[in-house]
Amino acid sequence: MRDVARWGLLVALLAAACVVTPRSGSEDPLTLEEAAAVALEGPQRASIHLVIRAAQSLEGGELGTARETASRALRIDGRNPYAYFVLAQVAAESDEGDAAFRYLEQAQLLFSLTPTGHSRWIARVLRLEADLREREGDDQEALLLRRQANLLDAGRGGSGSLLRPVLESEP
Amino acid sequence: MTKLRLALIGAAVALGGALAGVVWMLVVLDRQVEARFRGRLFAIPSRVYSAPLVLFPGLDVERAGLLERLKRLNYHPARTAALRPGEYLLAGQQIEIGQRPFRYPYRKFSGAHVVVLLDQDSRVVSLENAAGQRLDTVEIEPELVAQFHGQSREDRRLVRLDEVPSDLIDAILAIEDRRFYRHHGVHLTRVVGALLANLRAGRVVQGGSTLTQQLVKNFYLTADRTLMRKFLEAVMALLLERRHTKDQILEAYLNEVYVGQRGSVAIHGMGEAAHYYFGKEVRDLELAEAALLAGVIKGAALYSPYRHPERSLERRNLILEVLLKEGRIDVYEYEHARAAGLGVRGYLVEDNPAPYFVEFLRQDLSRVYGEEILSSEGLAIFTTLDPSAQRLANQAVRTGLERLERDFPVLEREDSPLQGALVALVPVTGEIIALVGGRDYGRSQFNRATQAHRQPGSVFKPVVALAALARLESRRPPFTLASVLVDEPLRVPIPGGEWAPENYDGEFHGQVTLREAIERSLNVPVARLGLGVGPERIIRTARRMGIESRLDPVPSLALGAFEVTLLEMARAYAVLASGGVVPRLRSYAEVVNERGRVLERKELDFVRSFEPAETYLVTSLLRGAVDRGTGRGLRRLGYRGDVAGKTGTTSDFRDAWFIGFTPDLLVGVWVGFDAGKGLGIPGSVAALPIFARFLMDFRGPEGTSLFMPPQALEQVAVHRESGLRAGRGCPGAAEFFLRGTAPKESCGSMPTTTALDRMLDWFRKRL
Repeated sequence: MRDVARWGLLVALLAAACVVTPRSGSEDPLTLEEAAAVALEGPQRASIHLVIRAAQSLEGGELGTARETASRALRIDGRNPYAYFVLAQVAAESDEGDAAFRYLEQAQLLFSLTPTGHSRWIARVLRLEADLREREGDDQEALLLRRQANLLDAGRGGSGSLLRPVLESEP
Repeated sequence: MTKLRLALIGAAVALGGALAGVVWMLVVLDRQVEARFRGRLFAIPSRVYSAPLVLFPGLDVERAGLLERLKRLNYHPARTAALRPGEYLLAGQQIEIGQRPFRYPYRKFSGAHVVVLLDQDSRVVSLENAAGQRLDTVEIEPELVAQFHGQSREDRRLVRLDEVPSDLIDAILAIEDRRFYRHHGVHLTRVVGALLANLRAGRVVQGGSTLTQQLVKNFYLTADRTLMRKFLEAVMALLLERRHTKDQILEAYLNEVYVGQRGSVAIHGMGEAAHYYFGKEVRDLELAEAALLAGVIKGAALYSPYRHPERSLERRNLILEVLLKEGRIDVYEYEHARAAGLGVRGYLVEDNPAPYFVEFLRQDLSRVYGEEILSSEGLAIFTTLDPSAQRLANQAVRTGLERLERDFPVLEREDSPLQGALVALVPVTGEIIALVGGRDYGRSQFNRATQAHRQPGSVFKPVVALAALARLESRRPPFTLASVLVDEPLRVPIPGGEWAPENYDGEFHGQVTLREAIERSLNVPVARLGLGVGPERIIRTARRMGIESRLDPVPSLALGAFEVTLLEMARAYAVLASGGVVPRLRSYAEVVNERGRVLERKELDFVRSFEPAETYLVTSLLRGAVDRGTGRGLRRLGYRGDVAGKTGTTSDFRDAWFIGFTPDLLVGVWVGFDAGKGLGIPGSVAALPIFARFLMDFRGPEGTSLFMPPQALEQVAVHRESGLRAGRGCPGAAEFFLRGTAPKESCGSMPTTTALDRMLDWFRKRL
């Protein structure tokens, strides 16, 4: 009887795996707008919308506004990885390396906890970290991080051309 | 001749002396006038604002307290179809809000008309602007929670002359000083008239003061009605007018004039008056309102629209008549304004919902800015406080303590009543959103959340568990959730005797797993766990979790036999809720000066101390404690959402604790007597219901978020008694392990992993 149940579970898992297993990486949102569109309605989506505004401010060079808006996004959803990523960008722009690394670490961790894995976003995290390492003079570490980033998003649509201008910190 | 000459010389000397005296007096008075007028004219209290309320689709506006918030912000139900700033309209399943402008740090919001569409459950379906365009989020401006006053206790909002509507200026000049723009500080005709009246009466009965004289009196002189004071007032008014323009003097007057009293705080200036009486900016005042404010100047108590509405209305109408006669308004405007009611908002007694939070904040800020600056420079402090959460926290503590006194009459004491404290924070960001430091701030300002050092008892056990389950500096953690601990009598020699912990139920349970020991809060096996882990490792873990209080490496450390504050303990739990980061606690986000420049920004800051998988193990224990252990009362009270928590009770029931969290909210509760008298009841009875009440009122019984197990964990079925992998003939239950730490050996005779198991495992990993 127990074996029957286990085989039943196996079939269910197979079916679920067919549905869930990433095929071409398209489940992984590429832009913040895409992320907002696929997020559940409620605090998660609202929080991403605020990150979009933060990213727009950052793009306009308004670092204070960008930082403040991204922080507000975290107030609504403290586990929003996009908010940490934008905060890291702001910190990087403001020459606050330590803070930028902390935010990047948190962003990477939270991206990795998402169902789709967000490999392209993790690649962005790694590239920004590489920029920061390079700035610190650690070219070898930067090279390593860029290689990892390339491995993560190569051929999966993570190139700069598909990114919104806000994400232009990518090389 | 000589005598005449001497007399002339004497007269000349006397005249010269008198002149010198006059000149000297003028110089002194002039310096006095200038010293004040050129320096900072007014002491402006700092304003403490709450966090803004963000509306978004899916938000339950009832639970978020939207309408209450609008009312507290002095939004009024709309009087006409055209919604104006500061008005709202409830129509069926929608709320329209005429948002007021607000100056935030880094941005200025100019106000907007928004439509909030709701479903039957009062959840936001959509947000739109007046043009019907969808909005992603809408922000309701922060509430003014409190002000930091100086000794003078004056409330004032500075206004520039160009912000003041001409109606208000006309009304004030018409009734107080018609010739203001024509005299030089003193209006001789009025002075002579007043002098004659005073001579006739034998005392000062009439003032005849110009606006400049009134300003001088308020700035430099006392309110004594003496001829000398009147003389000095006139001289100083002339000096002031010689040095400054009429507009400068009028602007100072508009900011200085006394217009009312709110409790012990005096209301000064038209900016604050507009807010106090009408809940609006001075520039938004209408003619009738302007006339009413002008009327109040003569006597704020005598013509108070709250205390003497009829008298206030009469004076307002008198001023409207004067304006009409002087041709400042036309008949239509006059009739329209005269027909209006007083229009003042409900009389508001200052209601600071968070006195302990505000005092905690003040102490924090005064270390940076000093008391003087805080009470005089008009800083705006944007805090992390959520007023709805704070009110619910106040209510939960108050009703929780009352219930305890009702159910356990022995707890009701007049001299030193039962006390409680609650702190609520956002785990990852460290923002304190509500703080209750005691039962009644009026009776005791001692903050039991931040200042009281109490024994944590069993609420410390999760720290011991983390010390046992985290790797720290080791390659492998010393224990797993399935580790078997002995629950039999324990005697540990200590200096001066021996330490023999006991379980709460007075019994021993043989062998229990680490999970059972924590979920059921068994003292003896946890004491053994503490000895196995070692006190030094526990202290290192506690420090990594942000506990700063003194901790001694003694055996009883594992059972919380030391002292901490509630806030400290809550922060330590935030490490579990946030997946391993220690957040810097924040009570404010920004401090902004009068001109809107951000002086300080308290950045989101944290340190990663543990891996998410390590803290998740402890979180899973505390979820179990709520589902099966000492915290199960939370389920009985009706909370169905995902939550983790731990009770705490100390020796002789002196302290009752409950600290619990969801992924996005952490709440700590303490109940006890200040003097340490025993409660006679455990944390699950005293503190847990307060936690439950707050959590359900604030988040609803279903909760809002779920804990997600990190990928670095695996689940393996473990045989309870042996702690080995379950197998044929020795079934077990699934348990979490850090990858690579699960027992490899099976308790059964059959091999544990079949080909099918491996396939299932492969798919599990893929999913």
